[in-house]
Amino acid sequence: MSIGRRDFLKAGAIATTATALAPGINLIELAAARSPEQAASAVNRWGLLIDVNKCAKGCTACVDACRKENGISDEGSPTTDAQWIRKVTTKDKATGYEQAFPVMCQHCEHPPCVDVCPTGASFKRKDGIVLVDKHICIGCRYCMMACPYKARSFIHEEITDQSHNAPRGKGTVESCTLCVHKIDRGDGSTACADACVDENHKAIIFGDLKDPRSEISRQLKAQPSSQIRADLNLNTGVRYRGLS
Amino acid sequence: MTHLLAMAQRLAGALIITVLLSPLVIADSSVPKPEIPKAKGDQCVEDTDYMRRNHMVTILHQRDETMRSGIRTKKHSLKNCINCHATKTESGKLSVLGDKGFCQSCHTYASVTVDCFSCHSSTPEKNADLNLKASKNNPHQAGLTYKRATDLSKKDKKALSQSVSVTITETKNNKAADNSRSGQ
Amino acid sequence: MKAIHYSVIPGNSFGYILLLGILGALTTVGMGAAYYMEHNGHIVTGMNNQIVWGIPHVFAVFLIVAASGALNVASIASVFGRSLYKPLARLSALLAIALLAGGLAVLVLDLGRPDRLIVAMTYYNFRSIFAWNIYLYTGFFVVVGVYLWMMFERRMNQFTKIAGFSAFIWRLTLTTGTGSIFGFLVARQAYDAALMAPMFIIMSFAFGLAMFLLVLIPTYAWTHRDLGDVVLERLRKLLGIFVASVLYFVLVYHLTNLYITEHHGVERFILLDGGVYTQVFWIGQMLIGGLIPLLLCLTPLGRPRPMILLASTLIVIGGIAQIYVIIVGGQAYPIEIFPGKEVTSSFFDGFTTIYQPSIPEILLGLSGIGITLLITTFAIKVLPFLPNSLADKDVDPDFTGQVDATSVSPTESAAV
Ligand code: SF4
Ligand code: SF4
Ligand code: SF4
Repeated sequence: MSIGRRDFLKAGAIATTATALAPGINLIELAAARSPEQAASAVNRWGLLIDVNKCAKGCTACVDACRKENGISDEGSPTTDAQWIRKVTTKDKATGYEQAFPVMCQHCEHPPCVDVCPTGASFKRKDGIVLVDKHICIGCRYCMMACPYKARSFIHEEITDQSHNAPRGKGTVESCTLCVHKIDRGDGSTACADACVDENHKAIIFGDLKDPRSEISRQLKAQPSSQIRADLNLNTGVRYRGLS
Repeated sequence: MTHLLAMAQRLAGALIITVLLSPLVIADSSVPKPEIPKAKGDQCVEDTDYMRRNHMVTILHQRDETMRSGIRTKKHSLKNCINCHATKTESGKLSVLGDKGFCQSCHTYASVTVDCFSCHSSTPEKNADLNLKASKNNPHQAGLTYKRATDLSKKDKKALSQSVSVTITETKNNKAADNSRSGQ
Repeated sequence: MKAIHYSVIPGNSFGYILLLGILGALTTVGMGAAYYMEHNGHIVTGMNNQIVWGIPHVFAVFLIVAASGALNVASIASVFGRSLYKPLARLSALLAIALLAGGLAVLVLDLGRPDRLIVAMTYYNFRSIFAWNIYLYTGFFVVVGVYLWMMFERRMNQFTKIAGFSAFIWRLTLTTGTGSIFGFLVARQAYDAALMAPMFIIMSFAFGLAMFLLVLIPTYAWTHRDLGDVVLERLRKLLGIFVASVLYFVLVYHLTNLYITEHHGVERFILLDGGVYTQVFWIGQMLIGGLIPLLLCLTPLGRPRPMILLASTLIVIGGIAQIYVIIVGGQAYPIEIFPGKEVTSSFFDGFTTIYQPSIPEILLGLSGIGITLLITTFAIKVLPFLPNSLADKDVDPDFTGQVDATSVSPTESAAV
């Protein structure tokens, strides 16, 4: 196991702060830092927990952060521009009760997008992250038809000045990558989760669903949570708390 | 059936002759050979000769490793190529594209389309430029920026081995990887 | 009954050249449109992140569905042994191949990366019904090709029946596969029905036969070959039965959906307040593609040839409307991510999208029909697909000199 020096120091720093809270957390944080030559493995399953009640009305910090991190450009055409994450507002038809929260690719354990993709461009990494391999995506958009969460976007025009974090181009389909470049680097968080912390809302927690000691697992264990369209049995990696 | 075979044979023959003659044709052509700009590092991650012929294989292999398994070793990564090989274009931007750019000049000459940059950025990463100038951070010696597991303190090792996802048995592989990273 | 003699058409008249020219132009324009779409990206189409499949898919699916149905006439001859249809088998198989080629061309040219066709052929995800379809389509060409060969080659004639049977099975599978493309989309309320696949099979019969008649009648008129009323009457009646079956399936489909509470929303949308989609459903699919042709096919009103042509044309238009309602209407109705909630977002959640197809994509779609007819027109000049005569005395085994074809025999309906 070798760790980038910077990452190692960072992990150490987290460990020091975390030890005070609960012993054991430092180990988990270290585990998040995979070395560059080590393949992602099924030991982890990355996910998010989104607390709807903590999500602030009118705040779009997570959306903005995602756009910046992944270089999602605004081409000036709302119906065709890509959106990896969006704030959805729901209103109960009977009671009028309103909620607003972010929705992105739910990183399904049984992803319909992967099942239908003819070339295998849509795939699920061993650690549960669902990605599009744009090298072999032929742009048939069948995955977009199949996704129950409307999580995917097709790139309708030529794109320039892509971010180094997320290669993307005309004629292929894309969606939230769970900030895979950050996970591989061992950042232990996503851009949207970071941004939410920066805004002091802390509505998004990133972590390893398979590690019982991770923050996300402990939170999930402690309080009720739900999946969007749980009836479809896709076992999503993105969970919600307080979703009415 | 037999005349089908004969036809196939003739076709194959014609193909072989074309392939054999092609160097002559190219040598004879009036298209000027591209001037391949110098890279920033001292030496490429592989033999220059090898890279000229096989860089696409190398990049393709790395592409699948990175995309599918999240293996992000620097050595054969496209980013690493670009960081080292990008040169100033006429507009003053650093890039591997542009008429005289490292990738494009040669690809135009060979008339092979480069598909990489419809999605990938053709410019070096922000800090890459600086790193490359300082010779001790030469990307071809990327190993320097990583610690080997053997260099970890006892406490850290214990912490690592207790944690869920990491086993120290990886060390052997890592050594090999580290060696391969520390230059040719 | 006399032996059937086939021959190529001379194909040197001004009319023939003109026809080739028109079809060639239609195809070329479509290719140009495809290039334009690929060059600029799908931004130049009306498709977007809400309506991801549009007009090109409507035409492609129509043609592919019709392809398997066009084989119907041949199947009735070879598989069900109806000798009246035997002379038509070659043309039927040719049209099947041509329709499939036209449909696939449109489908492929609409891809975001049509340049990666080779990827589609070399990377397979065997869980994907789409990938299976690639096999089914390729196989269809092979199976029908072999079938044609058996029919053309006198020595092979004995195998015609078995080849015809394989082709019959294959095309049923193919249509099931095409229908399942939609059946697998569990999250979309409009497609979540087991009825999708059988409905597609029935649709294929009607669309395919309509296309067949649209090719058969003009071809025989323009080449001055005899086309008797007996065979046409039979085909007209058969067409009527197919149209009735489609209507029946549509009825059952919507009734089942009305029974399932969670589908009420989408049903209301298609049947009542979906705006343009509701209109396309009632006027295009039901009236133009259903009731009027039904009337024309099953009453003496439609006996004259222009009326048969009219009925067939209406069925084609209605068929395209039907697939439009299925594909585009199914997407325009907002996907229910949060049942029981009113949803809004910057990504048009909960918003009924109005799709406005652009000229290039329509041209691409139409070129599919162009390709189909171009292939057919050309093929009948180079190979003897057409019987010299389809006059009653030449084809009808029970020819009595009297036209009496008011009933369709049970075997033919069984072919359904
Ligand atoms: S949310 Fe949609 S895109 Fe993401 S994994 Fe599930 S089906 Fe695929
Ligand atoms: S658009 Fe790309 S990722 Fe989606 S199903 Fe088609 S090939 Fe697969
Ligand atoms: S995880 Fe990353 S890619 Fe996904 S929505 Fe958050 S910021 Fe965007």
